Amino acid sequence: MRKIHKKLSYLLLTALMLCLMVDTSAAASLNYDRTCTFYLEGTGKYAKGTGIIGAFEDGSGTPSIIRTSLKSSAPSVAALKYLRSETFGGGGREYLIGLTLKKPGTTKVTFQSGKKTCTSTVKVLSYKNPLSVVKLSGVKSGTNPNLTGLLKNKNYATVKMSSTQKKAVLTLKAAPGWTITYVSYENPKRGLNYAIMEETTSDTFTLGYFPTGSNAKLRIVMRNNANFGTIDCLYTIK
Amino acid sequence: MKKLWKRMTGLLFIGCLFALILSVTAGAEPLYPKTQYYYLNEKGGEGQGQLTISGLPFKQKLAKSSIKSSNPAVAKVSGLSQSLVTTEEDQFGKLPTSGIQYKNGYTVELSFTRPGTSKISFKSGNKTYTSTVRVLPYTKPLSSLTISGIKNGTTTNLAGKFAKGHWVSVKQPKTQNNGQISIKAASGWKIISAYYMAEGRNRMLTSERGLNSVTLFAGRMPAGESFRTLTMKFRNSKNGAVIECICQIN
Repeated sequence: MRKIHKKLSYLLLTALMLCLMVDTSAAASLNYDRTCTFYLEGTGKYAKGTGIIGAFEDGSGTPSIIRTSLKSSAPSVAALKYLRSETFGGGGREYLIGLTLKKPGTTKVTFQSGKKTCTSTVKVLSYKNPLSVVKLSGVKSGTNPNLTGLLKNKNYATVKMSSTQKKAVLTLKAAPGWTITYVSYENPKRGLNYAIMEETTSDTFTLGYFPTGSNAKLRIVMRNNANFGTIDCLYTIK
Repeated sequence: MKKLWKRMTGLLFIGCLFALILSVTAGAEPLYPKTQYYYLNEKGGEGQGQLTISGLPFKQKLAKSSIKSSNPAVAKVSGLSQSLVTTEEDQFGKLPTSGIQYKNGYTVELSFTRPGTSKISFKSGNKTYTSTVRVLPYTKPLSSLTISGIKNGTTTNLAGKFAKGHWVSVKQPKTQNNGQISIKAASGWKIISAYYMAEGRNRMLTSERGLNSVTLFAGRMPAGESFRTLTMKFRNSKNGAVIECICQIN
């Protein structure tokens, strides 16, 4: 009887250990974007873009996402561009699945992680101008001080500053349903980068001294309130 | 004669191969500053700094016990952390361009107790490397700091508050709707970054080249809002050392 008891407890212990091992391996799980919404960067000949699906897994063993397992169900909507993985010494691996956006629609990007098949639903939407007002001291679009019309067909434009501004002011107003999340400008002539991280629907930002011929880059990141898709609006200021 | 010629070319070839192997191995030398300057955080106080070692071979590890300070009364090794990042990329629809890149480096945390010089040595593989650390007394790196609605006694210039150390706390009695923060570096210093962090209204300015003066337009600054900080980094034009000054706004 004692022997049976001993054997039974060994078996129980082994079973427990096995359970623990299975549980530990399951802990090295993969977290990834289940749904992604991307906007095209323009209309007509500018209707293209790029998107990234992010994934992160614990541990630093062999990579679990295999390149050959990656597939896009509708490559005419979004085609696979690259798979980049970064392993960090402290543990953990980040994956970036790069996509080339081609036209509005939906595609399912599937990939194998270990024995699991993962699916990320990617929605590609037509370009929309997310800004209703963009005004910058000393810059006009023809005679119009509102520069948003330049973003009608694509998310970027080049403008010219008529004269050096001692205290340039930027006025922004989001189109209905959109939020301004980030504003930055890089001024190579002054050798500085300036970033404003503020969530708002409209605001006036003082950018300070702004010389002509700066070739400055103004970047406004807009987020859609309903689907959280973002559009990067870029102005090059000559 | 032909045999001798063949042997000679063979030997030359092997020699070249050896030279190549040696040059490749020599290329895997760690990158680190041979001399680096640091400033103490306060007059008569202590300080902290980091020594960055990069470009190590993929599997190379550094043990904390192998990192030594020749003058612990000036600088002590207080920590060590590894930063190992492996990047692999596969391009679809092209020829296999998958390439693996890695960055293996360490950050040595240093704590300083007084001005002076110390040699920090570390062992990588069979070789020992030395970096000279020069610790200088605290010095005020800014000549002017004004923040809308804030005074230091009767003057609007808050720079005097940094005379003894790098951290100060100020009080803003009234709400400012169009708050401005103006910073001027002291002679021999450049501003390399200024970061105003408030509840959801952050402003960040960086300049690799360095600027003599900057103005941050902070927008609305409500009185009494806590957890607002202004972090300014100044680089000394002569020795390249950086002082970080922090102003907590209440």
